[in-house]
Amino acid sequence: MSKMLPTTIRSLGQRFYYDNAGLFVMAFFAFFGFLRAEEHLALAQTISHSNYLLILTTLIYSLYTAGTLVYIRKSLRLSENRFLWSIGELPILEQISILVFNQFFMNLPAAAHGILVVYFLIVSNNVSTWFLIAYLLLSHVIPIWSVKSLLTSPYQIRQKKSLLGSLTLNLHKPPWSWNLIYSLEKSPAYCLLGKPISLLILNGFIWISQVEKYPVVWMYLGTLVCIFANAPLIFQFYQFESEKFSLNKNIPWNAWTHLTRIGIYITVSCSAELLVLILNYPKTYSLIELLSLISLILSANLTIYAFLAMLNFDQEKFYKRCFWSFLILFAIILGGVPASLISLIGLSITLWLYRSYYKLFIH
Amino acid sequence: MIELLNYSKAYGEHVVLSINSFRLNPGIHLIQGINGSGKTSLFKSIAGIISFHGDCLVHGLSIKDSPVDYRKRVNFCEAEPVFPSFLSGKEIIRFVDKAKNTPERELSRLLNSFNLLDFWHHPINKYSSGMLKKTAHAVAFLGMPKLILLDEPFTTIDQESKRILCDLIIEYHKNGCSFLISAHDNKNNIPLDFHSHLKVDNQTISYV
Repeated sequence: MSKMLPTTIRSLGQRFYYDNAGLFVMAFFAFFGFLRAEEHLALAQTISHSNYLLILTTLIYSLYTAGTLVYIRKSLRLSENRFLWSIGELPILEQISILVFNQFFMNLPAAAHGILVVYFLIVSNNVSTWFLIAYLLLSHVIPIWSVKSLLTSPYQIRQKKSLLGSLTLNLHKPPWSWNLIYSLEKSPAYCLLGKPISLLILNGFIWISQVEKYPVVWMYLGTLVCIFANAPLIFQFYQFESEKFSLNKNIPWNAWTHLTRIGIYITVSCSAELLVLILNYPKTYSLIELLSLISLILSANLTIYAFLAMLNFDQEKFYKRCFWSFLILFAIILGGVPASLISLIGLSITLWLYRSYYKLFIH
Repeated sequence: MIELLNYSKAYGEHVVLSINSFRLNPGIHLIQGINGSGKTSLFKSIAGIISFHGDCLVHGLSIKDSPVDYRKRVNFCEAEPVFPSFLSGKEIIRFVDKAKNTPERELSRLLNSFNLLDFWHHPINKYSSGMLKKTAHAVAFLGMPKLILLDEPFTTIDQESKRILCDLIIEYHKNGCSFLISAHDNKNNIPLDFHSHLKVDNQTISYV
């Protein structure tokens, strides 16, 4: 096992961090750049005092663990990792040891945070301590059975799709049919997760802004995260627009009429975020800031759509560009540039992209 | 040794192979067929890499009933092998060697035969296609299997390596290992004494 474990960790665990480097850089920024040390401890302490927050935290851990599991299953499907299937030929105890160590390595960030919360739970003599400890242990063991069963009969890997992989939005089917959640190879169902995650993040930022009275930059960042959580949904929307309304391409609409129509669609698809923002907007911020945030949401989403027009269905390039745009906007916001100016720049970029690449989009 | 029962493999609506019953005795077998005839699909099915309808047995052991024991007996080398580019040949060979519990003496003999020791410390992305193929061959010979499937083993390797590979095949066969080899070369150009010559054609397999 000692010789196989490092190779397994290098092929699965290490690659997991490498492939999701963007997410981890963001999390690192959020936890060690934006939050101060005492705020970290206060956050962990708040979680340990509220059962609601504790459940919410364990749900986030679960999402993370599910993410690691999906990643392992996806990696094992690659031909280059086929040599890893030989783990299935080891004695059962060795198999489990290797997989548990690898899972532990992949779960490290969630486990580290969990241990901090457990510490506060112990200090406050909370009965939920055992619940969280048991949960943390189980989160390392439960995914193993799924991976182990695949390694036992790997030829089934191609027969059975992962749960998340099969929950996809089929946009070839008419949207009025009840068949919306349907198997489709083109893109996974993360777009369905985007909306609740986006709303959850926005609510969280609003809640913390109200409690802690953070500067308005905090709200800008929250809005930014929720905008980019919508990117997969916009990608699906683009596919739908391109395939379902292919007839519209023959209608002699010009680029600007089309862009206005897209603008209306995007406003409707972001209505949930806009509603949450308007209804729960912290009273400490001015109305101008609220209008700036709304314009930021709309212009950033339009820019994302314009990227699609430019890249024409290249999903990988699209997400890369989204990621870099996110980082650039993150830096600009931290630099103190107001949201209204950012949305104005975003809108100008959109118009330029749309004007330059409209022909590519309609063909 | 290999037994295919009600075997069929389809990609979507397109049926590639459909074999009611086929039996192959122990030995070294050559399998040929034009591109797209289904040789690789057959190899991958027997190796347990892709799903198929029906069953496949090697020495009476079914892939569907005892997948782990089955895989211990069957090794496969792809026509175009791929490994993670950031790992070294040494890490991959050591990994499979440990899983398959290959005797140390056997491993060093394989490494010396394929001349892997000179470059096996380097990451895979530094390998030429020939070096990569030889690494994949070494992996396929690990663990004293009962059946080794070699998909186009003679492409991309030099004449000397081709000779070494043939010597190893003969030696392993003497120790009870069978081989199913696919190649586009003329049978007479391969320095091996084949027990049977098979052809994949018209969605089925037959003796030439």
